[in-house]
Amino acid sequence: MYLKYTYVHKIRIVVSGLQALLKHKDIWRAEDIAEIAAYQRRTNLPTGFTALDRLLYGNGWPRDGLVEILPEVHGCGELQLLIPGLCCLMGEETRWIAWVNPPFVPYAPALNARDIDVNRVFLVHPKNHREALWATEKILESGSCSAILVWLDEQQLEEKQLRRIQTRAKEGRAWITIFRPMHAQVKSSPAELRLSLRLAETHTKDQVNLSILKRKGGWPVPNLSLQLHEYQALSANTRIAAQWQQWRQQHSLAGVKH
Amino acid sequence: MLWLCVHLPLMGLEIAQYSQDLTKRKPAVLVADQKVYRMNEAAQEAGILLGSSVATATSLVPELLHYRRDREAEHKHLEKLVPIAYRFTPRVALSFPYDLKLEVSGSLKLFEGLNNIVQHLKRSLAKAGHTAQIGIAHTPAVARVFAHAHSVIAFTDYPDEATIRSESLEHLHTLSLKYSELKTTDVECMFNMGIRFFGELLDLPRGELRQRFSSDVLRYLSRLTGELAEPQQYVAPATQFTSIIHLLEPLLDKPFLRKPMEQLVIEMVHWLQSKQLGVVEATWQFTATDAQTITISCRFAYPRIDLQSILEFSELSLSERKLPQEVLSLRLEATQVASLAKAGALTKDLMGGYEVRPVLPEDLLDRLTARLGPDSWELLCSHDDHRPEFAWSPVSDHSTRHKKSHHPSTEIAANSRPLWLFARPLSVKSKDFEILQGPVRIEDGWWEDRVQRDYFIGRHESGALCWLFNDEYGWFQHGYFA
Repeated sequence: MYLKYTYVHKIRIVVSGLQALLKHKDIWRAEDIAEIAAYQRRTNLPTGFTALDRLLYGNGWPRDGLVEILPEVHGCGELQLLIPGLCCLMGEETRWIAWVNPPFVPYAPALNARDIDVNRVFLVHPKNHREALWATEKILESGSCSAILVWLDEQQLEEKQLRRIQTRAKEGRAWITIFRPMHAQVKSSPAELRLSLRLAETHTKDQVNLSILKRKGGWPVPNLSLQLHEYQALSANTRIAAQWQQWRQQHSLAGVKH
Repeated sequence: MLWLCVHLPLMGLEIAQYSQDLTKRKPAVLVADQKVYRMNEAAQEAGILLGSSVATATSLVPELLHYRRDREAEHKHLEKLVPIAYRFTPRVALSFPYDLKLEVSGSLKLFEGLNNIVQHLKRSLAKAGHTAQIGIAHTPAVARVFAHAHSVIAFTDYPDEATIRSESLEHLHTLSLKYSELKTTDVECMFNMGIRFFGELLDLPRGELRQRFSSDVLRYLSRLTGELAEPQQYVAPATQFTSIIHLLEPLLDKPFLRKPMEQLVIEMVHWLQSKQLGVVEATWQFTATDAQTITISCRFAYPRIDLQSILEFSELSLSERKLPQEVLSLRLEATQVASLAKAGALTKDLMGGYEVRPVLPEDLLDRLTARLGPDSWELLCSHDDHRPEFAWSPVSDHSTRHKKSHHPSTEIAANSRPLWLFARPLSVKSKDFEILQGPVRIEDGWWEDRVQRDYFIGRHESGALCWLFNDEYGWFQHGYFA
């Protein structure tokens, strides 16, 4: 009788410990995904790319969480991927967008032309990795920014720092995107979404290859071809330019020298 | 007329002690001419008497703290309290050494009643480190008597003039003559004659009094009853704010600076409130024992008036700086102020209740400035210029940005400008690129920085889409279509 009592008691302890663990905000159960996704569907942030939306947890970018983007090179569409989401966020909220340690200048006229209100954009130029982390944390803590784009020094970046950023992002209700080089994909990360961007091989030049390395509620997805808006428009322009040149040549005018 | 007289009985002691918080509970006395002039409660409980010599007092309480009375400092300090009173009424008069007089009949409606004014005034003074006795009456002279006697009449929130007058005079009758402004010799004389209370003096026929006392006594009596007008010299807060605290003992550590710093900021906030201004730049000076001075300026993104944030950002800027070992004096100056009405920042209630609000981006920027330096962040601003590098500029002053920034009238097609721009064009070889589109000629600025370039969109070998241009100096890359 006594033995039986202790046994039950022990089980109770184990169960209560498990309950506590399950209540932890970083832990979720696969069976809850559908439920949470249904809840989040109302509040998600569309990426602007239907093919990508369909694959993401809650059908879009997380409104409070860490996303990692690993572009192959600069200029492979890493910003364009975010622009529709940022536009949507700016329209919905009055909070700001912060760029921490950007490698180049985010060009204000170009942002304006893409419907991003530059009045609500600010850049932070930290002098070192420590300052960059401090600034990122303060921005998240303040809750005054809805989106934050961060470039960090890969060599000094540690997993625990990312973990801290991830928790702060939840608290500050901010969508934070960290840009890391391609080789960081072998490292583990607490980010809830990791994407790598590669330019498409040869002939279809207006596309990028996007791979989902990690996502909530699903397996990684390799090589998703994505047609970026800008590339589309550009290819259309190129077509018109080609026609125009053809027309000039037909009318024996001097062609435009490249 | 409704007069408040604020009497600060322990002001002399409070200014001597206000950098030290702990000593308040210890017995302390203020000494003038080798005699105990004022003392705190602890000293009173220990049995020290006013007017006794320092030696007698110390023999009673060996650990007694005594401070010499500094009339000049008291004088200056009373003037510093003007902004606090000025928030309630523009009619503020000083009466040295320890009294402030306020005429508040015009402010009753704004502050929703007399009792509110008294409460707020007391609270503000307590925050500044003073215990105040407030007297309310129909003339400044009677209000002064009430304040000194620490005797309050409970008026309604909106009393009418006749009631104030009758109730004040009635109450005055019961008070001792020792609270009057009369000469001590006169008061002594009256005591000897058996006249102890105001009532007894006021009931006597004036003609007989004139024969026995000087005309000052009669003038005082008519001032009490209101028969003789008592013109006041109203004061206004200073036009600039500078305040210094000299510490009695040097402070060795930054955390100890918090208390005197807070004191200075409180003073500044009161001044700002009275002037309806916000501070844009505050300058701190810390002077060490060896006369070495450290100056630290705090700049704010918009005019600020709230104590918490000014103090917080000051401390943040301090945290990054090395201070001298032993700080002897602190100085705070409002080096740049701006009107609150213009900035639209006056959203708090006028009663001085500054509620907590969510962090604004401006607060965040101030925090970054304080810790990482003023050039640690910038805002973007686009301009109407064809030259790519002149079509935007960084702005690090939040106030000027709104004036400048606008959507340029030259509409740029969404895809013709890259998202990444190089701060300085990069020299490249044209053979590394496959030209996709162009040229687009940009030619402008012949009057200053001439630009004459053919822009192309090209793809680098690596696959990146680049913005290139060709001019007389060769090929350059100016950005990425990221």
